Amino acid sequence: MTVAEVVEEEKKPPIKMVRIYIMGREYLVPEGLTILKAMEYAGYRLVRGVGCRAGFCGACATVYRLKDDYRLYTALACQTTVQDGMYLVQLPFVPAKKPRYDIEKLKPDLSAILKFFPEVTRCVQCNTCTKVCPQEIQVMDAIQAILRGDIETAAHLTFDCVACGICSMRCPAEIVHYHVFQLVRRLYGKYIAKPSKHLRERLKEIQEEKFKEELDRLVVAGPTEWKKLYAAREIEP
Amino acid sequence: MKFLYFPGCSLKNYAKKYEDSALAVAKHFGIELIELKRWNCCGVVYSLASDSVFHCIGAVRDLIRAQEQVGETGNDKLVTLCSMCYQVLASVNHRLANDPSALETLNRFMDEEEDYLGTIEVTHFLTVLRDYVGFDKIREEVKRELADLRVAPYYGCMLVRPKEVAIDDPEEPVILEQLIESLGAYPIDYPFRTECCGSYNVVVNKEVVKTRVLRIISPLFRARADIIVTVCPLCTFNLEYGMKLASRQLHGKKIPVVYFTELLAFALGLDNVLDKTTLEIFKKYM
Repeated sequence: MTVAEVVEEEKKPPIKMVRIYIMGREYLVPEGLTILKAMEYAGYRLVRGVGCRAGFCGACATVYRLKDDYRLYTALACQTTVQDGMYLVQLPFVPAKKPRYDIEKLKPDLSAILKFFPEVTRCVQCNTCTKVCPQEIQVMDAIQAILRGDIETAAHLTFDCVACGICSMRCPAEIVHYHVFQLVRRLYGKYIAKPSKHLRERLKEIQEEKFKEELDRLVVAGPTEWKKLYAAREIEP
Repeated sequence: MKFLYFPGCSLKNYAKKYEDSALAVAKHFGIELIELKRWNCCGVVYSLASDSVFHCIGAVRDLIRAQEQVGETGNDKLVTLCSMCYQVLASVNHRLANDPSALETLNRFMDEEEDYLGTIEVTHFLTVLRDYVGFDKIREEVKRELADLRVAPYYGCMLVRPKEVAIDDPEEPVILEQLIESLGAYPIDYPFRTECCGSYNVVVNKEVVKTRVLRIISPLFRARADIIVTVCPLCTFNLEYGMKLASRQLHGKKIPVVYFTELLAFALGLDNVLDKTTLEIFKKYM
């Protein structure tokens, strides 16, 4: 670092620190860190309970409380920044039964769900699942749709589920929503959704090796060419 | 005339024909039943526990959904078809109207919803037919000659008990009889029309349902009933299932069971909304 850089660095305001508590112990961590990074900053080594770090995989579901607030908040630890006075826990894992089933042998109706998840009928409509969902899914409405046999609505309502399991952790009826919803979407995909014409056409093209030449060229192109192609790639608006 | 409408889970499932026929009948008389955009199970059974409000939550949510949509109809009414749904929604509504602290507890718990104000009036489609269409009007619209049809009206318990929410006199209801008469058919008077069908015992103790159904229908053979008319998906299921369980005692005899809306649809000539089984029952009156 040159002298000029050091002078410039010292002119910057000091990093603001926030006070958090992990498993009851106090830590000062820089403001703006996510819960995940704050825990690592505090010295925790996260092996399980952490995945994509981008809000998609649902592995880092967690709960926390704020000072002088009665609520138990829920979040994906990689998507939520720390606040002063936050009480955190080690990232929990949500154990849940995961039945095996043969999708070929099921019908897309209530009977299929009840066979493997009879506990869905225990829903008392407290709506806690909806309140805690980090993906803002109408979780209870989806369970209720299932109870009247409306697999299609349930599949659409739960499309954004990342299977973090927070709903299942909080459900007084002990429903494992995310496994139920996966079955619902599988049933929808297999029996209700229209078969995708485009997918079939594209698969045929791949089988006929339409893209083989292009791929072969790419394999031998080298880093400079890859970077150029990557920068010029088509991106959806 | 427009009303908000709460179908209930059964009507979307094994009692679909109840909903189909009711909507067709409503449309025929210029009544638009607007299904709630979002709704959940009513709770199925009204909890009599006076120290807990938890089992009211499902019903209150539905009442809040109705409250959110009340601007679409210009009235506070929420119409139901299933007797169980009617009884649960109306009982919860009645309890909360008389217990402000219970309402406050529920509103505080459901802090993600707007407060329920207690202004929705839960009503049944039968009441709508009586009060907003009128039996005279129904009589004028009947397309079929049903004078030979002997109909046993079966109320069950949920629609006429307890008296706070009963749609008619709990001991001596007449609304179904009046409807049947207005269609030109003959309503059979028999003693067990408001007795319980056995309800949810069908899940845990089928014998109860069998005994109840035998008792209910026993006078109907001598009374030469052609059909039994019901208001409730669970009553319908239990009557049919109970007759099956008791087929030995009944020597294989059966009386067909139809929803009152199916009978109405048939009388009005709305055959296209009736399924094959129902049309088969009505065949000889065509």
